[in-house]
Amino acid sequence: MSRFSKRFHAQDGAEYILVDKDPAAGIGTITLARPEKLNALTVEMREYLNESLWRLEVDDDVRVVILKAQGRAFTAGHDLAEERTWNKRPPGKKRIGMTENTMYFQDILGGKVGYASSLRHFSKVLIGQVNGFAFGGGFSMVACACDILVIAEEASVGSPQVRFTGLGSGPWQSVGYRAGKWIGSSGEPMTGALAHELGLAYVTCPRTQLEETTLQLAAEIAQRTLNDVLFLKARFNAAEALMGRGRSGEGGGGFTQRPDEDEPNFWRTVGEQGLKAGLDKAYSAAPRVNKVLANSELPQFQAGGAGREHTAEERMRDRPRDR
Amino acid sequence: MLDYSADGGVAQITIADVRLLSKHDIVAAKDLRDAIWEANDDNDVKVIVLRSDAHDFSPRVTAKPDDNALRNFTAFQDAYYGPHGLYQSVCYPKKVVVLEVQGECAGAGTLLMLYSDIVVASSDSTFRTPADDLPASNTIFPILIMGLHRAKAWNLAGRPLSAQDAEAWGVVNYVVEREGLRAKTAECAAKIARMPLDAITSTKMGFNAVADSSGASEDFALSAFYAASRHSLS
Amino acid sequence: MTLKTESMGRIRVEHIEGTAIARLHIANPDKRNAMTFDMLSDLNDALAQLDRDDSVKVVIVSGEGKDVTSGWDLSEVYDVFSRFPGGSSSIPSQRARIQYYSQIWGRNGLFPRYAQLHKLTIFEAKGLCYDVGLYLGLYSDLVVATPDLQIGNPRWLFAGGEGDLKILAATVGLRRAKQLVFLQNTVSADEAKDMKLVELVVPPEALDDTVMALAKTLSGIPRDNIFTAKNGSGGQFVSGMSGALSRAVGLSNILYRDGEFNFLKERRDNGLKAAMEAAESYARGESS
Repeated sequence: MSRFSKRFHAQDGAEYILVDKDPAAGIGTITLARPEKLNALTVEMREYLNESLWRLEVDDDVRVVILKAQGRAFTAGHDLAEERTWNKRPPGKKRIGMTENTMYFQDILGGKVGYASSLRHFSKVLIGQVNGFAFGGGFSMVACACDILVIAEEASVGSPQVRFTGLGSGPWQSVGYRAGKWIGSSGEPMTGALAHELGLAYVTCPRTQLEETTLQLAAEIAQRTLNDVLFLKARFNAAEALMGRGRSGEGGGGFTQRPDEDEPNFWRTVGEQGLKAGLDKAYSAAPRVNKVLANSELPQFQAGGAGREHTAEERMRDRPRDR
Repeated sequence: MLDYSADGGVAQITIADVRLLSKHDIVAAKDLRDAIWEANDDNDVKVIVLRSDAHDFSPRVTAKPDDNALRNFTAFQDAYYGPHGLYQSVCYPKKVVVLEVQGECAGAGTLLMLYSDIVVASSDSTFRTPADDLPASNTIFPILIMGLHRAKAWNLAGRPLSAQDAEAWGVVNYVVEREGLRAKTAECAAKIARMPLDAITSTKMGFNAVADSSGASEDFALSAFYAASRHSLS
Repeated sequence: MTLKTESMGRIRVEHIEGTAIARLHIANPDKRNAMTFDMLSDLNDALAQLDRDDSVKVVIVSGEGKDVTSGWDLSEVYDVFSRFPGGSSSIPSQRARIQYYSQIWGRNGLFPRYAQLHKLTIFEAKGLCYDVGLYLGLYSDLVVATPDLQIGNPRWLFAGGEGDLKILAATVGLRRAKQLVFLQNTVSADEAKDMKLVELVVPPEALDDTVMALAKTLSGIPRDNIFTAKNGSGGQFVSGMSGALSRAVGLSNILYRDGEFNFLKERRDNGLKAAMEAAESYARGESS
């Protein structure tokens, strides 16, 4: 039986998800390789990501996995151009039902394609090597699902979906409730430096040093035995479940928001005029907050205290530690 | 093995050698636990200070924990991880627990740090994850104190946390030079003791409920089993 | 451009014409915006009205004058129990206390209403932001502060850890929350920003423009999106709010021992002004 009125094959995602390992070091890598589309994830890519994670889980050569990406983006999240055709109305019906709506989240979080669950509950240490921007699902479902994040200073991450699908919620258990509220309510992105200051990124460094810095960290962790790694991760996966990040706490949706006639209708605009038009309309109705502040010559949301720049000492302190 | 004194609403417990706790010494754990409960039951006491005169509060002990302690599950639970054990005695009393810490802090010392309410540290102190050496370590407290990603990174990466980073992360409340450590701890304890006894009791209960609403007690309830299973995996 | 105002004494609701933005304004400037029981009732009514008003998407909460609020009116605390059954006795009944504190922390109380208001909320944190102000800030969607901010609760020292400790710990971390309640009580804007208690600090002359710019951007978001997202949000802190309710009742029963500063006794014996001065002196470390 087909899902979404189309037959999907995970193997079709293999072109865009590269899996590799260094058995001597005990390190596996998964590389998102669709740079021309900013590593936007299609359904096939998500299925293949899921399978790849499973294969690395049962490979005793691997103790640590690095999730990385080609090009200037980490991942733009789900392929939005695809979403429109993905949630097809049942034949003869004027709208989609709750089951179709919930399927979107189910497929992220559970079931055959539950890649976000696979990332979150991965049995080995997962390091996110974030080279560039990660938004929406790419941020909360992919990047934040990693155990440890190394984020390039130049990267920009966040949850802009407040204009399209409702408030995002920032990762408040990592950055604190207020910072999480800011991220979700304003939709403003964070730089790597701010993500580090707030406690989301363990390390931040210039993009040119990202690969080497992440590999060094992975190598340190991979010195542990496989049993050590499995045990520690099992403890922390259990802790997260205790804190409400278990299976049933995941997912949302269930019904579609209905913008009023005087409001931008993101999905309708995307369907009729394409993704860019949808984004343009949503952003002109609710402009980027930092852009608004910049236009008004007002201070912007910045790391490091009341609007001040990081000092040279602070930047040195934030550099990855020498061993 | 330890020294107990109480004055002006503050009970001070000085531990001779925290490393004994990292080695799961049963007597050392029970002595400390009993001292804490004595302070908890004393209505003249509002604050409990834990400290040591050793140069490094809790140097890392890399020898495997005493096998006999783990095999004798009941003794292990009773002394360390059960509801009447040492670690839950640090977490759940109705008095405010202040930890004074200097130098290297690993193993059991890190657990004492995680379970205390307020931490005053010397500027040369470092904090190593306890998870490698003590598999029954509670995983909820580090998350509630420093946030999910920092807690995981600190535990999984294994790099010791400097006093300065610990303060920035909200793990340590105050960092001072070694010479000023005892005075700063005493100052904090005295300040806390100005709160009414009933208020301290009620507020501690409130904070304990916060930890429990995030699963701290469940984690404790399972922790000895975690340790036993880890032991059998190696 | 304030054209539609409903005044309920010291709590004002102003709909800003031509926008989907409303301002909820606290105005008791002679007492640094201390909150009275009547203001609490008006605030609850105002929130109920705003929640039902489909023309409003964003609510700005602000205070008249230099401060947003100096906290609950200290001339009223404890005496306010007398408004409820059994509350007029020399030792007020527990049910009177529960009914009073339910107006703040109970199902239809201030903070559950505010946390789950189906509008986006922006809180102006300026000057004194104590007690009720701290929690309005914590439950808001966005907070904009000014450098003169003093946020926290000086009453923690002698009245104990009132409030939702769960959201406080979720905001600044468990250990920092204990530091605030047991040791520090109030922090400045810079300290608040460093501990992630507030996220944006702007010069006072920029406060209005910043808040309005944020409000205008947020009001461009579809109503269904805002309403759905806010619905059930804050539900994660139900246990924190119910803890605050039971703890508030418990703390109102404190038995003060020798040497412990008893604000209510000071107020009874020497009047409010002397009691507040004595409280400040005790906070500075002087003997009671």
